[in-house]
Amino acid sequence: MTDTNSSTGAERRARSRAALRTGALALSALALAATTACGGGGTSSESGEVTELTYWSWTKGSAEAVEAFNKSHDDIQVNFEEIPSGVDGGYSKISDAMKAGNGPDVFNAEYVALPSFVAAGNVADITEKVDEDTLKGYDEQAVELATLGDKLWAVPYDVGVQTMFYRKDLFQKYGIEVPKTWDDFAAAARKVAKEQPGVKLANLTVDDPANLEAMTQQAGAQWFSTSGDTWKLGFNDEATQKVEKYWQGLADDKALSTAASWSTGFNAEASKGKVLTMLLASWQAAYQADTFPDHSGKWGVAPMPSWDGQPASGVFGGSTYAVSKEAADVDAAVEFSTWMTSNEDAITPRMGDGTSSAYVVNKDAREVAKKSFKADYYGDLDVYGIFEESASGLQPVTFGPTMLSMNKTLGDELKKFGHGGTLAEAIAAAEASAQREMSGQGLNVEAQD
Amino acid sequence: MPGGWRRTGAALALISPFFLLFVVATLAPIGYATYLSLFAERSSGLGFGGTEQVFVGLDNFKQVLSDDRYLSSYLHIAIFAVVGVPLMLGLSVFVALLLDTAYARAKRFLQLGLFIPHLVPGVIAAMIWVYLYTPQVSPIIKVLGGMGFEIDLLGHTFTYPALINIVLWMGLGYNIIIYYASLQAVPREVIEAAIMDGAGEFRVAWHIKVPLIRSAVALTAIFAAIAALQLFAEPLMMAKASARSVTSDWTPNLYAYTAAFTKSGQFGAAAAASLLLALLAAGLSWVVTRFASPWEKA
Repeated sequence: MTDTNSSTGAERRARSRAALRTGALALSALALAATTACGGGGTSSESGEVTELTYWSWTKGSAEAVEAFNKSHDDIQVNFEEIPSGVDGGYSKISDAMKAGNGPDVFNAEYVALPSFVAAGNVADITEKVDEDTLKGYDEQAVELATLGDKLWAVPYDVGVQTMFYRKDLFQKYGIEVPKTWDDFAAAARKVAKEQPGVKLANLTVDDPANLEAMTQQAGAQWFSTSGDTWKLGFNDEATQKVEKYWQGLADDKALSTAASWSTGFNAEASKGKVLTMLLASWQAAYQADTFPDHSGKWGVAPMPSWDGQPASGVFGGSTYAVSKEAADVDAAVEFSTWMTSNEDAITPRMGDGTSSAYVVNKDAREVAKKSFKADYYGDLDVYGIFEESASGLQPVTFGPTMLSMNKTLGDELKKFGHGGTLAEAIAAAEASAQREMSGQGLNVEAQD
Repeated sequence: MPGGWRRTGAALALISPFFLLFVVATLAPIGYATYLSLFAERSSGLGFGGTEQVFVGLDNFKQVLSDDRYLSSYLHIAIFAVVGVPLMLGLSVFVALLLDTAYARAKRFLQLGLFIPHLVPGVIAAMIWVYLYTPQVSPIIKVLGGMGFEIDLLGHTFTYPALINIVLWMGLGYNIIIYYASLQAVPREVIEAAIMDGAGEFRVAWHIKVPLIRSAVALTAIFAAIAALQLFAEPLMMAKASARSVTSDWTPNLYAYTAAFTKSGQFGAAAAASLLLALLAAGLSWVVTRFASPWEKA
């Protein structure tokens, strides 16, 4: 079992995209050694001017990618420092260091965290620093996710596309078709619960704040939007209500396993075949093989069911390269960020020889990712093809500036879902938290309900 | 008076390491927290223009004191302390007395066995227990389930029992060792005199031994109460393991931690919450030492 009780879903997500591996420390030490060697050695002698950057990340393969960057650049040398994953303390480390004036020049921020960093004034505006042609190489939706208030704040690396993992063998055994719509999924869930004692089609699923948000986004909800210089909160819109009633209904009918998402208990159920699907995102494809090594060939991958049967996806994770406001040389930092998200020599180590399934958003880089992913666990299925199909229905999403904090409250409340509490109560608490904190920070905020 | 100066100098030299650490590790952080508690990060509009540090006076204190979650965190530790502390002390005294009777066998082994859990770091202990509480993996729940008892140890009903159990498991051995050591110091002739006068084991325990170790009990009571105020790792682990009622701001310490490290720039509120807790702890300690001292004198 790779998971422990102590890791939350968000931690797991962060790790699954970019897991810290044993040896990564050693590699970062190597990279540092290499950096020093390059910086002090012959490469810089011709120009004399070498810009030094500091890059903080927890993402797997970063040390090797930085090493490759340093080898191919004479004028910029990057010092890589490994930090704990974002929600595991990495984000606090970054913002605390920036408070103290010794933060990194470049760091990774997930889409949910980026607005918080921008709001705290920690991120440099790079709108004018990335030229249009370069930007065209990235998926438009991802660029939009990194754009807040009409300004570009970060270079996107990947986006978590909602994806369904299902037990092919057990679907066949119990006579279940792969559901295309949420209606199909609900019917299958009720059928399994009725006919197979002790087995459920899925767990509560939306007990994880990020998963709930992705599900509501998929249905078209906009919890956060802006109008002029005012934030509008729409936690009670039609789409949210639809998603809320749907999952509440399944939970009330006891059609879902109540094992908490990302818990040891849930993994135990899934490894015993007591849960037949996992409704997660693209990054999980690689992680699935780590979590259930005995299940090779048993899991299938399919687009997330949708309301109308057409491809649709919310944003379930994904990260960016953000440049610190204090960065001495923003141009160099941007060059590093674009290189890290697009160059083959950066993508290959980040994909970790097939152990990452990040849906990379730079189009050229995605081809590299696609090639390096080993799909033998899934019987050589075209997994990236499925991601691409789902990504064609990626919904436009805006994350609010207090997401990390709001998700804490939402997560606290969601623990009660399926155990007496309702989804509606949890969502209302999240909205109250968002409103309270945003207005507490002096922002203009209005609830639309 | 050169001799007097030498003595004072020696005293200062010996006491200075303590004061140095006290200033660096206690007074300075409290001072900095006080400073932080008077400021807040503020921005405007959509908030993408960055923030500025603003002097807000006592606003942070008003804010946390009007936050239901902060107030209920005190209720949680109060319930925990009212139930947990007497239970801990009572059980510890009971076991220490048992160990001290003439009939006890394998005393050293039992002492060691009881003390070992105290050596386990709190976080690890909490993880072990939380594992045993988690429905799909716990052998305890499996056995109970096999016998027809369906219990949900992470559910609302078991919040306090589950938490107190972890703390008891860790703390019993420590208290027992302290009480047992004090019991060893009880003059044997007093006990022998009592026995000569016809007192049985129970009377000896209750009327001779317990009164004679009450200063040790009072000391550990203060420790246990302060530990309850500072409750942190155990509820944090339970919260992470999806214990339904344990939120990320369930105790005052957790509240401050969450405000400082997972919320956006709420160091001011976190500092205010921490200072209020420190004030309360200082106040309680003063009350206890002031009014419990006659009783404490053994």
